[in-house]
Amino acid sequence: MADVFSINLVVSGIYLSMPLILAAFGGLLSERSGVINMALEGEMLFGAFSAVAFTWWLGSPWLGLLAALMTGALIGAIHAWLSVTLRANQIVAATAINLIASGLTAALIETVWGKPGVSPSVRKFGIVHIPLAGHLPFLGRIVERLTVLDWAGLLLAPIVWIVLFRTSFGLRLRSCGEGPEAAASVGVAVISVRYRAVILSGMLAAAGGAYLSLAQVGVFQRNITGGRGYLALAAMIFGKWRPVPVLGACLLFGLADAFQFRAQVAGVNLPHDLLLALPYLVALVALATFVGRASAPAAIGKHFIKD
Amino acid sequence: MTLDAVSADLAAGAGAPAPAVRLRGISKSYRGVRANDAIDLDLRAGSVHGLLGENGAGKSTLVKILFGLIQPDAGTIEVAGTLRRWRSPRDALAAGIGMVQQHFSLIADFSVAENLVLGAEPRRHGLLDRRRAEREVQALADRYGFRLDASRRVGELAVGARQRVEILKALHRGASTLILDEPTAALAPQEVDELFGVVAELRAQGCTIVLITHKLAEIVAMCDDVTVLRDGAVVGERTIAAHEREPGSAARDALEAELAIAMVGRSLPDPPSRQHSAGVTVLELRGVADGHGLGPLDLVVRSGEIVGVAGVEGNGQTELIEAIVGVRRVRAGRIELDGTDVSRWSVRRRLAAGLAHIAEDRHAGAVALDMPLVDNCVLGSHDRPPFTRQRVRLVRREMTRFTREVIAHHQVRVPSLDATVGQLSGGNQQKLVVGREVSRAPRLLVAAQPTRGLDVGATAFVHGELAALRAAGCAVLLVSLDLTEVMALSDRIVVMRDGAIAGEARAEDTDVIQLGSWMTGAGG
Amino acid sequence: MLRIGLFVVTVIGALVAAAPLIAIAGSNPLSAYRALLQGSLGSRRGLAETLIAATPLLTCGLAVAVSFQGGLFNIGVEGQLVIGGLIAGAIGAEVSLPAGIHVVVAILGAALGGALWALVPALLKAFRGVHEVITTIMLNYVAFSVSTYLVSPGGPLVSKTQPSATEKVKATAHLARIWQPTRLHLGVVVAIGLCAACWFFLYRTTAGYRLRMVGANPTAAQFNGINVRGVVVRTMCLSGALAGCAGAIEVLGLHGRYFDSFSPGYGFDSIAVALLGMMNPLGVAAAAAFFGMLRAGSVLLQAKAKVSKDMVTVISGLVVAFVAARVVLERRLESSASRRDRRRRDG
Repeated sequence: MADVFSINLVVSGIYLSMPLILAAFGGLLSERSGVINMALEGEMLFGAFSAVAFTWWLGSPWLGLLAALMTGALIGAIHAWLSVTLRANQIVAATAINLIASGLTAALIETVWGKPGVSPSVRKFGIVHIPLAGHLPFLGRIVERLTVLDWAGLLLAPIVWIVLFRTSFGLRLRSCGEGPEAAASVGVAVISVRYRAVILSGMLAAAGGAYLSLAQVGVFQRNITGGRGYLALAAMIFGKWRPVPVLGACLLFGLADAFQFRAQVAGVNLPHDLLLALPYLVALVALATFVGRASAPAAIGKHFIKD
Repeated sequence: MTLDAVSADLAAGAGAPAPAVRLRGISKSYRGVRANDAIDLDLRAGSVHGLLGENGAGKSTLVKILFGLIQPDAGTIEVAGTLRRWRSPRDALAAGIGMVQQHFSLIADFSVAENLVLGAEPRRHGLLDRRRAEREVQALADRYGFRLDASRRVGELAVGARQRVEILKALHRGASTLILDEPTAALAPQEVDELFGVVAELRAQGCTIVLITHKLAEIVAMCDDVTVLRDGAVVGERTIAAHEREPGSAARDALEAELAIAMVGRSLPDPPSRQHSAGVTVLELRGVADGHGLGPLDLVVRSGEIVGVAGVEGNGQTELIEAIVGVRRVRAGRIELDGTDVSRWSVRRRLAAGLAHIAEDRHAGAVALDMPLVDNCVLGSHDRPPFTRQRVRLVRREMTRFTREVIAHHQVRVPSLDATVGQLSGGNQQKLVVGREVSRAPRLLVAAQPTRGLDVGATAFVHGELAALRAAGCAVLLVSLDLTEVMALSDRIVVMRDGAIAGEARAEDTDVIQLGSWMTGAGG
Repeated sequence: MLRIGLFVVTVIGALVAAAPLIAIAGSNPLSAYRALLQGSLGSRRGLAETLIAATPLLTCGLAVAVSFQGGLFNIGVEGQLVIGGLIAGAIGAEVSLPAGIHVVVAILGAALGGALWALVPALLKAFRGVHEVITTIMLNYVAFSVSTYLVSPGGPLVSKTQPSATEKVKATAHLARIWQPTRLHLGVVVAIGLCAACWFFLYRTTAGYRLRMVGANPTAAQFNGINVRGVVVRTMCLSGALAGCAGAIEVLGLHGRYFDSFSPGYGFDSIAVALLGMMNPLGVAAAAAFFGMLRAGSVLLQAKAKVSKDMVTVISGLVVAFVAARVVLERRLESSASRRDRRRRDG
């Protein structure tokens, strides 16, 4: 049992929370602008798929990541068109994207690689060594094992925080989520701001998917995300739409996932299949203890009609 | 001095400085109803100008035209001697006209400074310069002597402070003429005093203020000039002299009486024949309080009488209705229906005991717009015979029959019987609701704002229904913001202020002035 | 009339929009659709397979529709279906009861299981205000783990001879085959019965009335004596019970035992079924027939036109997208209708 709680647990917890972090911050941008983003799951799937496909074609995980970001932007734009321009029910629109993602990426495995279910392995991201980092006590052993994307993900929280709370773009973005009419009355272009937020959201979620497929396993398999998009959404709600608590919630869910893996390796006497449900159970308990809706952006899910 | 004489004086306007804003012949109609009828208005630079009138007199329409929110059918706007046309409020703001609406357009999650700079944010190194924003906003607030902390979150501020933020926002965006729409409607008394101070300071610094209100006391206390509107037309204009502000003076009493008569009209509508044989007590509230500002209050409604509840919006009327209907938990006191304490009863039980309710906000509380007429028509009676058998099965035939009956008896115009309520016009929706509630032959009807937004014909129809119910021995509690309506229909009138009863009188023993003073807490 | 028109427009729109995606996936869309049609309606077997696939889709579609009519969005149908199938399989295999009673008990057990699985999101929604979409989805994954575990090697319910499955359901708990030699079973009758029952419940009972009123306007419902929280909880449980029934029907009628991943995602497709059917039981039945065709035809689609079965999920998604986008069309129709109406009234 002692083996379970080790430095490895922390490291794999960070690994496993990384896709959640990327997607949850994507969701945060979208929802802070007033658009519910239930489509994170589908956007992650699309991202994961194009990352592997383009890495396989072009040979570079960087180009794969770039392709994933572009795919995410495209899906985000479609999502924004449905949710913002057509003013469709945002949850229904997102469900459509998730269904299409799940079916299309699974169907395309066979088209691209000729056999169903899983892609061949592709090049993964390398680990970036920080000089002397290994000498740091405790932290050093974590730091020396992080990939470029891990660093990007960990830096994302402060970056998103700065964008949201310290730039005029962020102020306008939040104003669209809190009071779109008030924002429009002082000249904020609500529709354009929401488009940008939802597209960015799609890109970040796709990056989360790319992390899953490119940095963690190096292959794409059908429904590789397995509900992580929804976990990211739960983390965002549990984190009350605030960057630092959202980061914390992602790490918590990631740790639950890591614990489940480590317990398996360490031969803890609990059925593995049951342990798989751990992150979802943690998320459920988290949501159950969550108090009230007061912290959601005031105008979330409300359509804005330009007059 | 009579109003007419003053009007003549003003019209002569000898030696007076050019007005800051001049409106000429402003007219606006909605579906054939004249909201504004050739209105002329001059705002003297650096003055406080009161717009007095009852709900529906056309005040809001007029200032919305002035602020560019709606376009007039006819008439001109001149600012500082130049003819202007607004396409949107932004044009009006650019010309220095700002407006503080009753429902603030502030973002609760933002700080005061963030609210003010939104749309034109100061930047430094590509980032938002929050310190500069706060400094500038604070300086502006200090310049006008506003008690405000620019770094505070607006959501944490009291209503009065939010209002100051809203005023500051207009000033920050360059307004020198400020329209305040019912600014005291939601304020506590101390906050009202503070607002008076703010208005005085703004005037001292050269701002022109338009103050919309239906409270006499505010006009007398704050305004230099006053224009009285009734039924969309100007019915009086006047300047107010210093000695007329003296509390308790004869001059002040005369002024208030004069304005009140102008506002309500010389001839109050003939009260329908009143039935003085009020019967047994049907509804009795004793010491009812909800622990959030409602009560404690006592109230009695007898069978065969209409008790009108008057008051300025937001003084506990909604909470009172909710407590009687049973969707608001009462912390103290008893609510008795025919002698039984129902304060712990569910809404369903109260309805079964003879309560009917015309909801204040029709779309929220009374109908489901996307559901068919038939389903809406039985709402509230859906689990009682003849509409249900053993409270399990719906009897569609009876539901349809009843719906036809309501439609026919209450002259609801519907495209077809399968239509949804959303396809009906507002007046017909309300007729359907009134018809539904009346048809239940209730012991007690709570009618909240039953004619809000209705045209003249529909209003008369609803009034007739209420009178008929009274004649049939029902107890009616009429809650309305329209004082004329309350006075025309009620046998007794109670006035609510700050969640409690501020005064009560028989309808024939009271008048506008007394009711007004109870509503506003002014005078005595 | 309008509703039938919208149905047809949505279906055609989704099929047209799917064509380029099928082309991207490397096939000719026209021959794909021909294969679909042939596989689903072109033979006695195909027709039976269409009905077989339509059966769980109809039952799950009803589950989604009932929740939607009550103002809730149960997208945890897949998980509730799995739990229902598992319980039906366990009762069918492990319990001995007389014929007839056994099958009823198995189905009721499955319905109860599905209802309990939906109870958690229901309570969280009614009393804590947590949005049901997220909680039902989380519980999907929990359901998958639990069911996988129970029939995993060494799991308490796993068959001695067949990995990842329960023992075979006893003959007393079978839903009989009704059209030899096809696999069509009594489940289709159960599903149609449930459809009729749902229609009756929604439009002919006071409980159904309360459910629809809470979905249409909870405030008005509350003001008129309806216990909104109670209705929310009961609606969600009813929805879960229907999904549980669907699982039981599959296990007792088609497969004869519970096995892991017995559902090819009926619970997810049923969202599209319910949306396409405009939440009305009759419309849901029509939509289930359409999606049954897609599922049944997808076998031939894969064999002949070399199009992955997963394209059916894509078409589901496109149907949902078209339903979402359809609000624009509906808004336009509505405003023109009310304009017409006003003209008539004024004139």
